[in-house]
Amino acid sequence: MGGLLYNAFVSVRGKKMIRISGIVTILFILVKRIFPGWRVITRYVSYDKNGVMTSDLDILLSLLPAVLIITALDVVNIWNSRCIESDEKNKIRTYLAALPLGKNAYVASKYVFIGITYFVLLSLSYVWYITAGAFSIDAYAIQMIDISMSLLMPVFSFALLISAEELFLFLVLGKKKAMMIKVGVCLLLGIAFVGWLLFGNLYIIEEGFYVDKLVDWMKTHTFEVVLIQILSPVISLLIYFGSYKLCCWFYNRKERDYD
Amino acid sequence: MTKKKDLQRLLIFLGYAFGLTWLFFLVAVPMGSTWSEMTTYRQSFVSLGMLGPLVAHILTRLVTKEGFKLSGKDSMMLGMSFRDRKWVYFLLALILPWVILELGNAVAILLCPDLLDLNYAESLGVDTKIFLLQPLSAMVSGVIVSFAAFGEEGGWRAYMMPKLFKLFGEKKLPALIIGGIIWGLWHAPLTCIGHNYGTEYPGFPFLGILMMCISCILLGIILSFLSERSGSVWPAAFMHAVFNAHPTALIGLMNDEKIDPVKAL
Repeated sequence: MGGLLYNAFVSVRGKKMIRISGIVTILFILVKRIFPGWRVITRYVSYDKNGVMTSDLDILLSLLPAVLIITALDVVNIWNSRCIESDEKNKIRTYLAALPLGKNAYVASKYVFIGITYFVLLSLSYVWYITAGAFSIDAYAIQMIDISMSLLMPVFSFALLISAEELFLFLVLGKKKAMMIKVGVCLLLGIAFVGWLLFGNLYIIEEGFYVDKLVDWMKTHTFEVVLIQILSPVISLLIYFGSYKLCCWFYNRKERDYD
Repeated sequence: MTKKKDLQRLLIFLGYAFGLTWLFFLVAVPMGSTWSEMTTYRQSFVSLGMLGPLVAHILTRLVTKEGFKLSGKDSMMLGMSFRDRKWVYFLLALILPWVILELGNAVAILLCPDLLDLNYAESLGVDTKIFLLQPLSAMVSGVIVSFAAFGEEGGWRAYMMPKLFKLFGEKKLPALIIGGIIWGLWHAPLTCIGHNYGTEYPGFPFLGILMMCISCILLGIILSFLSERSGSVWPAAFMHAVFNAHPTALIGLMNDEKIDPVKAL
């Protein structure tokens, strides 16, 4: 299993990724520690009607972790296909047949690898947000960090669900067919979105999509927020495990036909 | 010869673990402020120092050229196996903190009935149902956001304790006691700024450091048991993380503002 995990790690250029995320994290901590915005760059500091200090730089830097997380989640999404594409290219399945491995070891290694990646990325996300929150003075920036942190679990649970579905498709159908399905689904969603923009009720955006509304809802529905935070990772992990079991069954059937 | 080598390696590890973490605390804690004076985010940032022992473990292996074996004998204990009923240790890691804390709270209420306040949660303006969810919430977040606890356990349980067990041979208890004292002393800078016990107690901060060492010895025994039996650092990391997340529902009924802890003692 260790070897298979290392194979997946190499195929996505893991060392390079670790170096990049390490440098980004250290740089972010240094920027927030050395330039806390409100103290050093005074031209970005102002006071509101109530005399509360506000800082545009703080708000800007509190948005940075979200940008980093979305970028990283996109990269992991690419990894779903890349680690399988590289195996198909190098005909890993032929080598694996000669090794004393369990029949589910290959499928398990892919699921475990992506699972570990999400764990590391989630941990890094918390480090980024904690750093952003620790050196912020702007109340609005801190509020945004609070909301973003409570959304981390549901966002990662959703990303894990997408991986559960993608890994299954890539392992069972192979890269070409899986990519066609993925592009097809994305196109359908895109067309549906454009259709909604053309013919849908756009007043919803104007009336209901304010961050303040989300903040108010989260403040008044603390029980629901906690419940979502607990249930979303549990449900997505269960589905991820179910996807793995189903994938093993289909993959072994495919291997039998292959033999 | 082997014992001497193990002792040298252990000392190198302790040098890194204490040096790196205490240096981080020095930079991260605002000059002259206590734990309660810091914002929640600043407290969490200071808590990132928990990653120090894991970094120390990696650096020690680099310096001593011990290698980075993931699982098995003399490894980093990073492997995870549920075979041979090892899943029991993972389950224990999740449930034990809850049981221990609820028992502790029950004993506290029995010894000091004034603590019990059935309307405490309401008086705080917090939804009472949230306290009922707290144990489950702590277990889930303990597993998923266990990186900080893994940072500590990846050093103490995956490197220090195996080395101490080797040094003491058959005698496990002295190794556990010394390990607990080292772990408790490592927390000293935080205890001195009021983490865990505050700053207003007789004998501050020395009594706090002593109490921390005692709790670390007791908790260390359970954590070492879990990691030794499962052959993995993960059950210990999960238990530590769940413990830090306070998995207790009874806390919603305990109003500690009503009592003076010194008088209660």
